[in-house]
Amino acid sequence: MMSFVALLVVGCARHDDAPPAPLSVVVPPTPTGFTVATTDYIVWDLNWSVSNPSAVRIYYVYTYNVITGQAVLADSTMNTSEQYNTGATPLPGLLWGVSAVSPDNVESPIVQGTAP
Amino acid sequence: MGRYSEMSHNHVPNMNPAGSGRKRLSIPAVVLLLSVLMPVQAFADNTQALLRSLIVPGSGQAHKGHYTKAAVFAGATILTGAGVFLTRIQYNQANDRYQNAKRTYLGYPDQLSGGTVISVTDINQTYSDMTTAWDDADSRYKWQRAFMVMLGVTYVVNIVDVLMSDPAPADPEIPRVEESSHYYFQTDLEGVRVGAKFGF
Repeated sequence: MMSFVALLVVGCARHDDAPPAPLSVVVPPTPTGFTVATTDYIVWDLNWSVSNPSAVRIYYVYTYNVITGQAVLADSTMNTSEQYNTGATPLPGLLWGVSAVSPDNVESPIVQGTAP
Repeated sequence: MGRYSEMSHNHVPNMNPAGSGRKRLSIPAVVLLLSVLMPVQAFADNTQALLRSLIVPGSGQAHKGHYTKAAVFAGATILTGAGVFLTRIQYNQANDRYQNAKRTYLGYPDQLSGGTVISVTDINQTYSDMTTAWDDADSRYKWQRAFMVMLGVTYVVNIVDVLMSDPAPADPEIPRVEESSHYYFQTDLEGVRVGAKFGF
């Protein structure tokens, strides 16, 4: 009986003594002051700013699926403003998001905004 | 006369009904024999009880008639054994989660240098999952060790106990229903009567 228990315990791998140290990644600045403006809910004006633009390689612009709430990449830009046309159908209440990507390809958290 | 009586005395037939070939044992010889045989018998009983307890803790105590102790040892063995088994399963699950998260987390630098954009939210979430899983695995590992120690102590105490304890005294004989007991079936004008009589 004891040999069965010993086999049960010894026969399995042991976990590490400690988890790996955190990665040293350079996190880009998170966009701030994100505003969404539209007159017809078709053409959208998006504006934002960052504290250190030189630490950002590109910005990602997202829309959110109204059913699943999932962020969908709509466009990418190197500027801190974007005009976006969503098509012929007005989409009132459309939720937008923007994030910054560092030169090391690390993406900041997404900042959300919607038209007033 | 004296010669005759001597001869007749020498030829008196052996009237012992047990037979002429059997030798009588003296009292010291009987005591000596018992003193040898009783430890041998006790050793044999102890060996059998020891073997039983080595295989199934508590069964040696049951063999000696100590049923309460047998239940305690068997119960403690089952509980601690189940503890070892369950904590091992939980440990394996936590360790699998940790290894998966660790593999993902340590793969991030290669993905980033390869041009894949990864959200810092995902990186932080993976790190959090990894450390949480490691904490779980470490905790389960310590619990498993504790249950193993308890199981080992139970096992050793069980062996020592079965070696040290004497057989339990026999229970007093329970009165038996004697042959005078019987059932009866009786009918008369008032009805039917069925009964039983017991004699002790």
